[in-house]
Amino acid sequence: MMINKRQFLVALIAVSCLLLAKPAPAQADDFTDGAVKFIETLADDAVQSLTAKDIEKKERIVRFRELLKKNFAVKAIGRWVLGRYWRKATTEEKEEYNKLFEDLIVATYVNRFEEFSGETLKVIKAINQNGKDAIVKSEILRPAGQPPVRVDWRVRAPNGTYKIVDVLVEGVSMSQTQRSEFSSVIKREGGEVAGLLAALRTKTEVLRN
Amino acid sequence: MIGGLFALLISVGLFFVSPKTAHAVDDGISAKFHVVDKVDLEQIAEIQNLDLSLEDDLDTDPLEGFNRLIFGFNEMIDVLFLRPAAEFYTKVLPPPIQRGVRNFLRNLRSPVILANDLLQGEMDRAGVTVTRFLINSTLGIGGLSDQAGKMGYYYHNEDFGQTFAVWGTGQGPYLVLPVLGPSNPRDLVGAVVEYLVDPVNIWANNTDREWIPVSRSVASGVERRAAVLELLDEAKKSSLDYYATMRSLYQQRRADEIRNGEDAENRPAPGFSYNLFRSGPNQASGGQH
Repeated sequence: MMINKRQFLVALIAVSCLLLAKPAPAQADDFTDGAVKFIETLADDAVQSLTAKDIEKKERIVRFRELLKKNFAVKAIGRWVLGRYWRKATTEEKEEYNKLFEDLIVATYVNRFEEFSGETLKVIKAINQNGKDAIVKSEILRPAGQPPVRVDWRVRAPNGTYKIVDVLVEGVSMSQTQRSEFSSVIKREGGEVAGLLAALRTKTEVLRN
Repeated sequence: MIGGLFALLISVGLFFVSPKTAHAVDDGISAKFHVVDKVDLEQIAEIQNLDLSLEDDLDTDPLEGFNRLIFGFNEMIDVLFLRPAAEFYTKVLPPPIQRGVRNFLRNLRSPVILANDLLQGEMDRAGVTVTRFLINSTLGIGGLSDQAGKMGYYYHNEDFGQTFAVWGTGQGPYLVLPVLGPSNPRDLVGAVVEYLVDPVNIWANNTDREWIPVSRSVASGVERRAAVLELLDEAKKSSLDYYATMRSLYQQRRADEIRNGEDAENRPAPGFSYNLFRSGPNQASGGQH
């Protein structure tokens, strides 16, 4: 590994930024404990407000969207999913993308709560990553002797409010999967974000019905 | 038959030689330094996107045209035969029989799993594999019942593709194989090696019982398809590009299996804009490897 003077300088600046920018680090234990509580509360809330069989679909969607916005960093995720194409998008495209991205998540996941059959979430442990991320490792326990599903929640707490930035199911990142997919769609549409927006419009429309 | 497999093995092995493209890395690093010098938040935000896009560039699919063609063909096979078989399996066969089939097929793979535990130096896991095999082959009635699992010796999977990865072999380009589906040269070679060294297959082929490996392959194909029945139905319904989704799912699942489910280091994840000041420079210094 060759380090020239310039790179050394940059590394030095980087390290000092890290030290300076980090306010007296909140106790690691508090951070992860809070993350565990956050995920457990979310699981309880979701079961309570979304899984009843007798709610209308419209109402379920409203409640799901509310939980989603409160607990997930939807905009940050959406932006990361778009990757390098975020810069290429116009202001109007970004706005529409943010809306469609949220709609897609809602349309994709809301029905799963309709088919709820007594699954429970069991938190195994939480890991502190650099004091910035907490990975809350959990298992979704399913009825009828089906093997549990391993789910990791990647959580951050800027300003003390916990938000989920990624969900990993059996090691598969939902954000990463969507990112690969979106980038593939954009590439096929000649590198135009507009092509992705059109595909998103169609997909959210289809899923709604 | 064996000769043909060896020819395939060698031709596939050639894929390993192809070097990885790394052209994008230089641009990315110089761009990052440019921004870190200025310490401009908005630009760091942009660079973080650029930084992460590097991974997409490295994660290319040079055979995409060919792969999509085969993928389309496989989809046809799936809709016509495999999915209906998997649906029959999950919806018609009683769950105890399904568990029996799964346990039996898993137990049959014990020698291969053990070999790969050992080749990867995973002695604890090798011990679990041996214990499972002994308990399930006897108490578990020839592997039909997972008695070992009830005692806390849980099943884990290993294969030669994972072993090659642990040894440091690159995966090569993404590959969609006819009927067999998503793969890469490393996993394909692994599958061929597994077929050749599997004791049950060797015994069956040497005693003119070719129907055994064939029915075993069909059974495990259906069993594995059934295990992801709902998952793939959902993925197909909600994805904008099913091919790209499957590619990502396969690659991430394999990476997870290779790590034995441990956490990935430096896994990219969405960031908050107000965290960029901290994470931006951090990643710049991390990009030097």
